[in-house]
Amino acid sequence: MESSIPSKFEKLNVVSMMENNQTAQAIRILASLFGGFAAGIMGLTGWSGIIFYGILSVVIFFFILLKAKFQYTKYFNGIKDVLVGDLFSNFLCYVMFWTLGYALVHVYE
Amino acid sequence: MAGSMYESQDLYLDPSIKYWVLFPIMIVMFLVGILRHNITTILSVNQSLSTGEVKESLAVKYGRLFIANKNYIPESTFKLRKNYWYDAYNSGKYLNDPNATANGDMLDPANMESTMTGMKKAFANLIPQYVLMSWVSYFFAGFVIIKLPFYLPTRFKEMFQRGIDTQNLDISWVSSLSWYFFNLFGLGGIFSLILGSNNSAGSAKDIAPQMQMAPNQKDRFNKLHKSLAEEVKIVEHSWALDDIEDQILIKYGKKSPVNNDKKNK
Amino acid sequence: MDVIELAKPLIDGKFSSLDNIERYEILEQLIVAYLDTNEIDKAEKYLKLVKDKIKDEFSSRLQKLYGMIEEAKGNYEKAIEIYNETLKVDEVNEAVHKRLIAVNIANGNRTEAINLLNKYLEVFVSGDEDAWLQLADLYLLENQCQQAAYCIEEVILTNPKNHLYYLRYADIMCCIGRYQIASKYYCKTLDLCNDNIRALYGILYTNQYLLKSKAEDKSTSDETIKALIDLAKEQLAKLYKKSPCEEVVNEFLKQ
Repeated sequence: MESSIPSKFEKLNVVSMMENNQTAQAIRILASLFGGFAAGIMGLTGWSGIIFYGILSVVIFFFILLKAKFQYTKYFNGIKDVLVGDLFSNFLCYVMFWTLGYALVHVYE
Repeated sequence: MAGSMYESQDLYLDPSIKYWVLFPIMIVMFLVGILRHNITTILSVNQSLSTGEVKESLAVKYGRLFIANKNYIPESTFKLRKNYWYDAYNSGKYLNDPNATANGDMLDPANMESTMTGMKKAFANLIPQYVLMSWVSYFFAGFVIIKLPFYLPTRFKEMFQRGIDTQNLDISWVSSLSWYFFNLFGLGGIFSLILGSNNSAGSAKDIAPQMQMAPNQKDRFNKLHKSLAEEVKIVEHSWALDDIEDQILIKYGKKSPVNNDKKNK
Repeated sequence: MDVIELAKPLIDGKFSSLDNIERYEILEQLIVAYLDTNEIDKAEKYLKLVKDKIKDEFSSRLQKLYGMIEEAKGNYEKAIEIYNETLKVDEVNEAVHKRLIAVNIANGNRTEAINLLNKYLEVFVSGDEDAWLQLADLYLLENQCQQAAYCIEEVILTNPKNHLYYLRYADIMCCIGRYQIASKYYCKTLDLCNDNIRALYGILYTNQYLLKSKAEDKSTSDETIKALIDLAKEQLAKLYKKSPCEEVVNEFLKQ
């Protein structure tokens, strides 16, 4: 139908979509938290830590898609939202716990 | 120590630093953040709006909805509404105070209450930051606290190693002030998990005291209404239901989607 | 009622262990549920708990509950009085406004209700679909279809993806006599909600009328009209295939 294709995204209920985004964001923060801690414990330094974060976000992205049964348009506004979603504060959270983990395990004997 | 790609200078740190510095700073910042959130919540409870203010903000909301969804109502009623709202916005019918001018004077009594609340909120955000920062740099200065697992450019050295007087120390070893900064950013994520995403302790707001930029310009809505008047004037109606019959027929397979050339032949 | 069954044990038993805000919300719902089932004395008993907490402070929510109790008892004037007083203090409380309007409707005082609702909607001009819908109902009861159509248009503006609004609008357009527009809106309903039976009937009816009407009243070709009628008949026959009233429908369609 010509009329409904451009408005495909508007057909989503706004409130539910916001909730979905919030849940996804919560998942991402938790993941970066524990991932950061794990990276610290594992002793990753420098670029390997950042690459680990990249891999982590891709894995989480994949799992969210899996949960949405790959029909992400039904649940989210666009693929970019699912992948990125407030990248900056997640990354900082990751870095903080990465530092913490690293320090706790490696710096102190 | 785990090998790294860079020549790392290994320092042996007293484990009691861990207990007496690392964790206390984290815990204190966390608690202060929660405190800040609660205080901000209490402060915002007392804000109540008057009828006029509700009216003008809802009028703006209506205008936006109207412009967004205008195509679903018949053209005659669209014209009706367009003219009505153009007049209404222009004449300031829905405004609280049609004669308000840009009021930079924040001490004006009518503005006082909202300005005060805005300032209180801004303070509630800023003061803990400054207090904590000075506390951290006073009590926990002069020693290295932690090793960062990554390599930063040298100009950060000055900021992160404040109080440590050695020149050659690796950038990775930092003072407690930098741990304070890390916490500042990192705990924002945790707060949003615990307090729900609408919390006032998030990190993005700390960076710039945004509340001080015109907390409540009296004629904010006047300007909005004027601009909405212009938008409403410009907007044109293209009825979404114009060829709805054809769409239905095509949808149910009664008619194949031919393009106009073929139809005219 | 479910609400009473679920809330009563919470309130009686673990009152103090519930979170502060939640407990009064649950209490409020319990009170309203009791009022709905006409057990006014129990409602008042629980209202006392709220009163103890609020003591002397002025609370609009509390006033609203008082008003509702008076309504349930049938003392409409007293209820109106309470609501008016509340509104003097707290102008922006939508809930109290709405209760005032509801009292007038219950009273049978439709014109007053329409007036109040209009005043309310002048302020709360956006985002309150229920108010517009209620106003449309009131206008329809007063046989003022044009105004009712205006209200439904407002609602369509706020929520253009809800097929029910289009359906109502089409019905009202039929009442007014603008069959072309009604037909279009029935089509739109069908678009948003596949196989909507009312929409199909609507299409059938309006297009049959249009077929016989003068050329200036309609904007679609005869061909389209006939196609729509056929489509409607076919779909209706298909949808009623398994149902018990199949024969009745088939008879009707043959006309």
